[in-house]
Amino acid sequence: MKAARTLLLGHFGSGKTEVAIFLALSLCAGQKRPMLLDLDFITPYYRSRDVADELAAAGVEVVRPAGELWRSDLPVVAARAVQALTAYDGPVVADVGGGEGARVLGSMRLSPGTYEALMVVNPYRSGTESPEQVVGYARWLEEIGRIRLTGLVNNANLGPLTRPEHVLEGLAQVEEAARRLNLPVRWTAVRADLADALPGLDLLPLTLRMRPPWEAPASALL
Amino acid sequence: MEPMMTMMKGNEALGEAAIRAGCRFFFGYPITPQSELPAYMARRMPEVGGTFLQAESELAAVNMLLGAAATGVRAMTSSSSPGYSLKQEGISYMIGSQLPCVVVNIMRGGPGLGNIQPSQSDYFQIVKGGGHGDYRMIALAPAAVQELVDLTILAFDLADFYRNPVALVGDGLLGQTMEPVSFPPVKTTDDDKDWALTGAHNRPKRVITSLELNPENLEAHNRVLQAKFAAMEEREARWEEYRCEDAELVVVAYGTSARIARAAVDAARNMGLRVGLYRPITLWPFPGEGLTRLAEQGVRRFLDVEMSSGQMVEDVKLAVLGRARVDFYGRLGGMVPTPREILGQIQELMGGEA
Repeated sequence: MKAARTLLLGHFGSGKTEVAIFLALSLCAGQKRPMLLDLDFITPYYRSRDVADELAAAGVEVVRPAGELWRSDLPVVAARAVQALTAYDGPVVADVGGGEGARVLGSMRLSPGTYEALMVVNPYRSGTESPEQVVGYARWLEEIGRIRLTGLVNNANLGPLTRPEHVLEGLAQVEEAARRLNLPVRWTAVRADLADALPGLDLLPLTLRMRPPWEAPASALL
Repeated sequence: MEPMMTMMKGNEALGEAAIRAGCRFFFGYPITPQSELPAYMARRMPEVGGTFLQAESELAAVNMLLGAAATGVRAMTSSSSPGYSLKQEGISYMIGSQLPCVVVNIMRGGPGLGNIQPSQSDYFQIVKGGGHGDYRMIALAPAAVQELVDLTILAFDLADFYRNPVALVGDGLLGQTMEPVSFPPVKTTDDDKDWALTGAHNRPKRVITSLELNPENLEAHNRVLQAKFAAMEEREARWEEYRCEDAELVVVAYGTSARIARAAVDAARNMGLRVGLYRPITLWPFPGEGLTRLAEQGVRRFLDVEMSSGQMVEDVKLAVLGRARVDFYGRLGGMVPTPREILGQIQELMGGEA
């Protein structure tokens, strides 16, 4: 990764958290412990802080509000998160809250060139279904987050219905948006079991963690 | 060809479905975990020429709803548990005034402020009448985002048909979970509402009120309402039976609990256990008929599962009426049961009979 600090932004429900967890875990082999900043106070469900213990065991420190406050949806940013973004010399991945959640970055006034800022896009997600919508959303995120995006991540999926052709059709949409924004598409994120059917793409094969309780794998029942 | 699918959270899908159903007035007040719904309406209503209004409180919102409904338009309000409590007075007034509308409760942990995690502990309030007076209202409880879309559209039709508020009941998990959905074409009716307040130009004036000082008249009015409630009980009970055909034990659950229980039922079937799932889709009228039949057909035990201390289980017992044993398993305070926990309960109950 070019920059040691990676910010993940996007529409809420675009898949930022799954991508953030994947990237943070992929950095565990380095000398410094990766930090995953959960800056999401937009929605109180499906957040990286929910799997903090599992990630800690794998070598990722999840930074979340202290005490019981992490269970809230209050606009609390841990001091340690600000510290990590401005002073930590190890790898940092910031999982920013969806949409308006990017304002939390705006308050930090990060200097361009000190970070990689990626917008995660699911072109099947209501609100980012056309290149026009993605471009508009990207410009708005840059404005309220006071950052410059450096790339897009294609996360085209229809949840459990996703087939390889959905990923490819979605990629074409995301590439068109990226062309209009003059940004690269850095990766395509897919459910790990679809990876073999998508050769030749720069993939992030995801093991999904933000799953509802009724999707518990059969193994968890035995 | 598969239909056009889009990924939406439950709360957003509910908002879009309401708009497709012709809802053009939304009055609300933010509260987690349903705030995506007013946020969605705030963005979408201006696009369709509708009105979104963030009221100063839930009380204000429900009374704005009453005003809008009195003009005959399709209107909705939404909240989560503490806010739903605040709306009870308005619901009673609307039922007394025979006004159609949709009231959403995306439940969270209680009592009091509780927390912002999913719960089903408002069942008594929704089903038995949290407000005052002799009243009933249909309560629809979807278990998936697509079903949430379909039942939202149905809710508006039922409200208009019976001139009565309809409750749409979910929990935080259903509101926050994202799933692929499609929107069916909706036939919006322009039926003349001959009771609506549309301006009494060239016609006799109409009055909408829940006030009736003469007790004889109020009793007669109550008889009219009771006849409507009886018709709803007769016609509107809805439920789903899953793998119940040869079941010895049937799990009874609604909404999110039902979805989790279904995974447990599948696991139990894989282990050779004869287990089924009975899922009420309407909480009121409670679909007891199917339960009675299953008990008569030889189901020996029912296991009621709720994210509450045991509320719906009372209606299950009334339907089973001693023909079979009814057990209960619940999680409280925003805790969600896992399929494994429910499977454990099933195994324990069935093992105990061997």
